[in-house]
Amino acid sequence: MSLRARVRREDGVTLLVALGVTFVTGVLLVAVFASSRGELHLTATDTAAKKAYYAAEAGIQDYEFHITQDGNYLSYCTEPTPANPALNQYYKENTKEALKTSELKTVEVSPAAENGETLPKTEEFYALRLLPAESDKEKYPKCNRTNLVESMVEEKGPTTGSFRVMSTGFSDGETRTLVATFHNVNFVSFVWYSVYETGDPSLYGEAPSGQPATYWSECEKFYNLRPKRCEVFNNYFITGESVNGPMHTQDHVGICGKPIFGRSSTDNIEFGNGGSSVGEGYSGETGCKESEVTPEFKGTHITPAKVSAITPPPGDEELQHIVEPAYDYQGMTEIVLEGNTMTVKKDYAYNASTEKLEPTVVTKNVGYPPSGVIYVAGNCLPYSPFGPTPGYYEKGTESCGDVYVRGKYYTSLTIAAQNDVIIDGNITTETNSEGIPSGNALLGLVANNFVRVAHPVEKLYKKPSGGCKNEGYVSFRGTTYKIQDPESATHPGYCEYTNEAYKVKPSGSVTEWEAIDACDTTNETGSTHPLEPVEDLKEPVIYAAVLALKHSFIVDNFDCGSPSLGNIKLYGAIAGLFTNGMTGVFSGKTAVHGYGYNLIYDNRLQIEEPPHFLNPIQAAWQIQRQTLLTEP
Amino acid sequence: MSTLRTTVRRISSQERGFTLMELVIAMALGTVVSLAGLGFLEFATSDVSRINERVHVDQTARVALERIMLRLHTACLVTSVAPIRTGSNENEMKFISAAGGEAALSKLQLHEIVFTKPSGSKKGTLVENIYEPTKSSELYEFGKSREYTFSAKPVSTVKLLTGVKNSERSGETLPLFRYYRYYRSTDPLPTGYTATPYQLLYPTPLASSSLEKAEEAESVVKVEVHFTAVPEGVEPATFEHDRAIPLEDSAVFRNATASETTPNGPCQPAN
Repeated sequence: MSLRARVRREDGVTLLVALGVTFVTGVLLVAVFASSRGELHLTATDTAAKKAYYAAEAGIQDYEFHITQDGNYLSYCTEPTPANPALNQYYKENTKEALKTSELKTVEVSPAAENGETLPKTEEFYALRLLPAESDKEKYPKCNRTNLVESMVEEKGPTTGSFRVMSTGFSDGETRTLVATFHNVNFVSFVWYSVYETGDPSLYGEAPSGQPATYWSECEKFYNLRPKRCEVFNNYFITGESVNGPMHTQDHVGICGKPIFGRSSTDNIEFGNGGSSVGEGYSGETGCKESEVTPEFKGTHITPAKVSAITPPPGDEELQHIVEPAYDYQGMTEIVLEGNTMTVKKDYAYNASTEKLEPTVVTKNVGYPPSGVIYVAGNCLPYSPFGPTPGYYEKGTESCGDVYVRGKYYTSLTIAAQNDVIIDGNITTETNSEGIPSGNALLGLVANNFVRVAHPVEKLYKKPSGGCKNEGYVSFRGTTYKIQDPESATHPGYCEYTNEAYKVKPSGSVTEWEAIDACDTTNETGSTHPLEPVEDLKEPVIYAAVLALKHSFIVDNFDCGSPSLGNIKLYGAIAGLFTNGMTGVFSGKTAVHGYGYNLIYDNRLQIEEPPHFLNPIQAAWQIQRQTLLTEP
Repeated sequence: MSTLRTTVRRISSQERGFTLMELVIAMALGTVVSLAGLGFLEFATSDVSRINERVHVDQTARVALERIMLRLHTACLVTSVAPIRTGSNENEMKFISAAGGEAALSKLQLHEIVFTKPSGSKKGTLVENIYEPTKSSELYEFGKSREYTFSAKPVSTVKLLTGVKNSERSGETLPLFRYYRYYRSTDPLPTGYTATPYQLLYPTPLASSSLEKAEEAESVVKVEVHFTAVPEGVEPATFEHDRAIPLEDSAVFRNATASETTPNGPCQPAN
């Protein structure tokens, strides 16, 4: 049969085979369709929901990133610079009607670039909403830049000091909403912050002869690790003392009697116990029985196991990169704050007639810096808080990065020094009749080394058993003094010395004096003080947040002088590497030298801080809670 | 009319047609084809049913898993309180959780997810017991050390899923819940490290028995959930028992990047 004939034939089973194949294929297609339709839908919904969740997470991280970079990010509300298009108020303007998700401004999630390569955007979006504080009494609550604390920060209840950000993630029709609660944890979160609750090792001076140079620097350790010899300047809290605000120390706390910690349960009292997680974090000091250790915690005592380390940055030099050149001063500088302007004295030079350093440039009506930061640079030899005249305007210190500060401020400002900040007068701001700040201005005082309160008493040293020397030198706590007059005419039984302090130990004989325990108090009124313009301060008042990064807040000659000058009133927060308690010497609750303490926390610091105030190495604002908006 | 009559007469006078043999063969072929078709139809029907059951169990299992995961994702409530509670193990997970956007949340709950293994004809189940605190006045204070106490009996019990069994991977049976913590200074160093990598998760899950200790339970920073959902009805031998659906997910309890220099715990803010 020819091919043509075979092709023309119509018999066979082709149709049946085709029908069968079609049927089977159809069955399989139905099965695949049924399977894929169900599972694809489930998978797609599931995936979209997960993407929406992680888009919401991205929104939270966006806000966390910005507020870590700039601790005042909240104060910009929805209008930061540069703009963040994801930021929304929670309510519609002048209503109490929440914005609908369709009315929110959103941004697309941008994956992080890898190896410099910019990755394509995703199709997920997020929107951020700033949730007004529940304690806000405004008719139409919103984040309000002129009333930030009341509008955004919870002011009562268990979440005092926190604010909330709501982040909604969008993906393929699915949404997930998270609420993150931020809480401020930085140096100004505490009225008292320290790493070590012992005196600064520099108080001890040079190492005794025959001992290694690290003899005293080994005191820079926690309570259980410190050598016994460091007990001399261990700080302890006693009956009659109170810490009026939240407190954080990473060390063990010495307590004797019944000091009061905190004002109410919203003040956390954190005792770190030197990194050990056991115990309560406090005990009695030498000579104080355990039965006498009865602290009263008006705040909430946080035990060491729950205390996180807050690590200070290594120095304040980063502020020098922020400050404008016109406000980057070199060497000794004096700043007198005068409301919204200030007088700046700088470029000090030695005046032979007065035997003191005096400014060669005095500029009045200087405006506050746009960045809000003033920096005083200059390295200096170590300061000793003890001495007859500890370095005020003294020859040889003109290149020191020291800044003298006093006056009244109406605008926020941070004054930072590469060496010391010396408070030589009251520092105040606008207050109400009760002394509570009534404006928004905050002052930060940041020193690499010490923040000092000027206290220029003179000291006399008892006549040693060998009698006063006609010539020679005396060394006390690391500073060597030249003996000039062997016997004081005005103070019989005491030797005298010159005001000249040698920063470098001179050659020649050095005699360690036997008894050094007297102070000349005759000059404390300031009227006859030979060291003008620095005078002793009567009941000094300081409205500021203080930070001493490598050393501590201290009163010069705190172990000297009659206690007639009253208390230091510091309204703000105080933070130092070492204890901030070296303001005086006390017997029971009575000051016998120096100043008593009246330390009060400025609640504004819970959410605001002075401009570019240094933060711990980790983020200042931290997420304390993250929850889904609705129950799953 | 005459044409139609002529045609009918011609056809009726013809003797051509199917032989008996042809008819028998045709009927036999028809029967075979019909039986094959019915077989395919039955297969298709049962397969659609099989797939529907799979889709159904996939859906319910995913919902159950999503519910557990969302609860875990909203477990970082108070930095001083760890989400995972003492007594959790590979078949039972206890954790605190609460949702809501209020400044002070008002509905902290203890969730207890209990896995009962299948036994004989009895199917495995996932059940959630919810407990509420006995005191509500001291909840959610930041940084505060609080010990919550919960009601002895659950305020509600929800059966999340029926037909649950342990998943398997490479012949190994996976526990339903696996718990992880960060590296500690006492752990052997991983390859390439000279100091403890506190920021890394320790690769070995915590032993269930160790979670009896509060210290261990409070160190849990990650939970993995693995289970296989098995549809209702008899499992046919076809398609290698593929109706069972293994699912897994994990949650990390973290509010900030873990510190590289100090030990880390769950829900910690920056350390």
